[in-house]
Amino acid sequence: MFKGRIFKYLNYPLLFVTFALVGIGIIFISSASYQITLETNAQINYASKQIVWVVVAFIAFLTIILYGYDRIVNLSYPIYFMNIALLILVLALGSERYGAQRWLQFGGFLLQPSEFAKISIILVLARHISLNVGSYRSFMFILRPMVLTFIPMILILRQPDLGTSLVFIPILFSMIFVAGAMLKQLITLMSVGVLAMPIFWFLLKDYQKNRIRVFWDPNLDPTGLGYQAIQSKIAIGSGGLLGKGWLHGTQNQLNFLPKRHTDFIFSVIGEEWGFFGVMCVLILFLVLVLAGIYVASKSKDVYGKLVATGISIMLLCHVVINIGMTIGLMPITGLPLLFLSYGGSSMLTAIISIALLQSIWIKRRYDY
Amino acid sequence: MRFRGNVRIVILLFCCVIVFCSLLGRLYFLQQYKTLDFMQLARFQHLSKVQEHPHRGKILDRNGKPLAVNLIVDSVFADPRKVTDPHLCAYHLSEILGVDEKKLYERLTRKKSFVWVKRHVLKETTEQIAALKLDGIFFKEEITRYYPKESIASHILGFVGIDGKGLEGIEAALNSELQGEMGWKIVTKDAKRREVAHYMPTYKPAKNGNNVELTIDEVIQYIAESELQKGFEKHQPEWAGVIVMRPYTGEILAMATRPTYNPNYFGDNPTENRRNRIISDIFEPGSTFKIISCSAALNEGAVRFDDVFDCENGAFRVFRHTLHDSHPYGLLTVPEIIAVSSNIGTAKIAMNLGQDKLYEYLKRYEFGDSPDLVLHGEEGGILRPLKSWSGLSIVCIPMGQEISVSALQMVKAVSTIANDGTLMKPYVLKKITSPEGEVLYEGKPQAVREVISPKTAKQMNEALKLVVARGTGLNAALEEYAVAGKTGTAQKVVNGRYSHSKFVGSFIGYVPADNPEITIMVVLDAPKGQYYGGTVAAPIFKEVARKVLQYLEIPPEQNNQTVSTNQQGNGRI
Repeated sequence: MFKGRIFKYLNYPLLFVTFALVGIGIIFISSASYQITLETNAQINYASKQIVWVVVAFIAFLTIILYGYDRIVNLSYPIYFMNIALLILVLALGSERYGAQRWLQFGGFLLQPSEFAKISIILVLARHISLNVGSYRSFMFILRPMVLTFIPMILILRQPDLGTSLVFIPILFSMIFVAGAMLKQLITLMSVGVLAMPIFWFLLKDYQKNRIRVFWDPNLDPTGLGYQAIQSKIAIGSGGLLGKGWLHGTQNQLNFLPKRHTDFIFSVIGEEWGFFGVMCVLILFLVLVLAGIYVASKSKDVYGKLVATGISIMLLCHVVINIGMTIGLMPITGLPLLFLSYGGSSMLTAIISIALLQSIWIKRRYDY
Repeated sequence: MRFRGNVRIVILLFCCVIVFCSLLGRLYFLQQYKTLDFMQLARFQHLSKVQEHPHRGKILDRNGKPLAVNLIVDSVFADPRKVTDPHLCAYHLSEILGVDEKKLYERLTRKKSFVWVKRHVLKETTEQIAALKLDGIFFKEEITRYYPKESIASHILGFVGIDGKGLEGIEAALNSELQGEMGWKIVTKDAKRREVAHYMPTYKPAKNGNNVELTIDEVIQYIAESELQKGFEKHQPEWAGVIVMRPYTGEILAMATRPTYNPNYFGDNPTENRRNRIISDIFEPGSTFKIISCSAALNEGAVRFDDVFDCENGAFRVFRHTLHDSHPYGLLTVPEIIAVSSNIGTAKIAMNLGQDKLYEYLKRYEFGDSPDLVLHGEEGGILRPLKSWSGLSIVCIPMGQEISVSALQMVKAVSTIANDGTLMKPYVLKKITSPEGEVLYEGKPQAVREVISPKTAKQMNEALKLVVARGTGLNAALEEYAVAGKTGTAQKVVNGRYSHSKFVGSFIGYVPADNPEITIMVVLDAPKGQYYGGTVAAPIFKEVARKVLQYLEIPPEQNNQTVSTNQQGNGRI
């Protein structure tokens, strides 16, 4: 059973963009952690750790495209419930960092189940909706997916992880939209969302509320909560059109920018490569998202369309929420920039998403 | 089955493009339109201008002995967050530094990252502390101004305030020369405010201050200070002062004032003690001023040296006032009038001269003008313009009333007589040199004018020697040298009236009389008990003169002043 022909059917532009982004990510993780690496005599070397994660993710990538996404379809409910179990486990005994419980420790690794929750919800929604496309007029058509989405979302919100939970709503919305929900239903859904806002606000923890307050005016607390927002804008803004050069960003190298190898990697790029650099990164992301949507439009089955749509919107949300927070358009939430930020779980999520898109694309020409 | 997904997918696609465009627009706004503002903010965060302090110039005496120097000391500070055992730390530090242990403990346990433990500690002491290897205790090198001779010459030197600016004396007057130029460098600091060595774009080194050499002689200053101190303790005046000047150059060799202060701890003394009263306080000089008026009359030929005046037995009616002498005298020659300090005789001599001429001479002696040393707070005294003189002025001014002078002005005038009639400009600044040794300024003797002829000067010299030989200045006489001088005892003006209990006792003179090396004036303002200049000031003059001449190795001369009873007719005139 030789499957080598699969590689002939890969979507190569998508693959190229993925590698380009991962490469840029490693280059800037090494810049962002350059001082730490120097100071610790390479005891801490995030760039090489990230390379290890890329290799691991690539193995996952191969596994998925060889295995075929339609077989994963059948596993979507088990994956979904396992993920919920993990999320509950996180709340019960997860390890705490920066005031939030998001990680589970396995041996030497920290696993972040909320990252995988995004994929599991896409899979389960695609599965559910694709089986019920016919009943799009019924109210249940939107109610059941909402329930499926809200269970993990509330668990993640309790961790608390506002950023990740915010990604769920656009995913749900776009998937229902593409599946053919009526405008009336969508408007209802939006009105419910708007009406739920005060309740949502009530559910937020104090520090999350403060972050949103500070978002409107970072100078409320420039050395505390507003610090990250201000520093990120200074780094990006001072980069100018051409940037200060790799390893020469003052705000980055002199440690003014917090969390710069993870959530704020984009600020480092903005400072060191300037507007032209971030424009390249944005174009790569745009190509990625458009390619995902293109895959969705070309998919022959509803399930593939929905998964590709969900993944595209998830990628878009990550870009908008993460980059938005670095340039002061969004409140600060702990959401990584997929492909670029340091972190194993987010790298796995990103590459698995691409693998699913590739598998859907391959499915057009090649039957598993 | 109805599925319209692809139309909707295209809608989604447009949404994505719009979202990306808005992100890109925002980035363009930040990185192009606003970039200069953010660059400014970034620079403001990581670049800081660190000032480099120059070393202040030294002040030296005429022989290069240091009077004001810089001392590199350590200041001890702590980072309480890093102090592991504040109890032990406080105990050791209080032992070594003599700081209160409880206060220290309180400071070491504050929630701060920086507290002073003690500032300006000597190197040896900090080495002792460093040997204990206490956690969280650090040292910072600092430079302080130090006056090694403590209160010696403190009024001339002045002192430097906390901000490094000279506040009094030479320190203030020559501050711009002494302070040097601040240097700076721009350093890059990281978010923890640590200096990052490898970014250092610009640098301007500090330029050290220039050194100042004074005409003051440390030894003469010391002699003047200690003799003045003795007199000050004995007679307890409100203030007292001594000036020693070299008559033929105008160099000020010493200048001492009491009460005094230690410039190393200037804050511990009342402001009053810091005043250099010898140049800043003016007083009515009294009888010492008779030297001035008589020299003018002799020089103008208004009187001749051996003219005889009737001193009216001590009471002389003039302008509806009665003028008194302290003792009644009959007929006296001009030198005798000076020797016994007869008010009536002086008045008659001055009336022969006339007020116009007297005023002219006072101006030529520069009374009323500021002597213009470089020191701060110099006073020129009060010489009223001729048109506001009363009829009695021609009687009062020649005997040192109705006129106010500073001690420095008197020394300048009497030095003129010692210098054959030529007025020398007094000066205290010998040299200014750059730190590299280049001479930037050199003070030189300046002859201002010939006020009286050498002949008149000689005559006055004889008269002044007579004062010490037979007159009111007996207490100033030295065995080995002839002394020329004059006593003064002036009533102080209290609430606009002449006081009968407060006097200014003074003595002014020069030695050796026939070949003068030094002019000295001693002033005691309102001494308790005895107040005659001949009693309170002359002995101080004598001691200072004797010791200074010895120090200057002036060979003793055959002196018949103390044994001679009649010098006036011995043909030297």
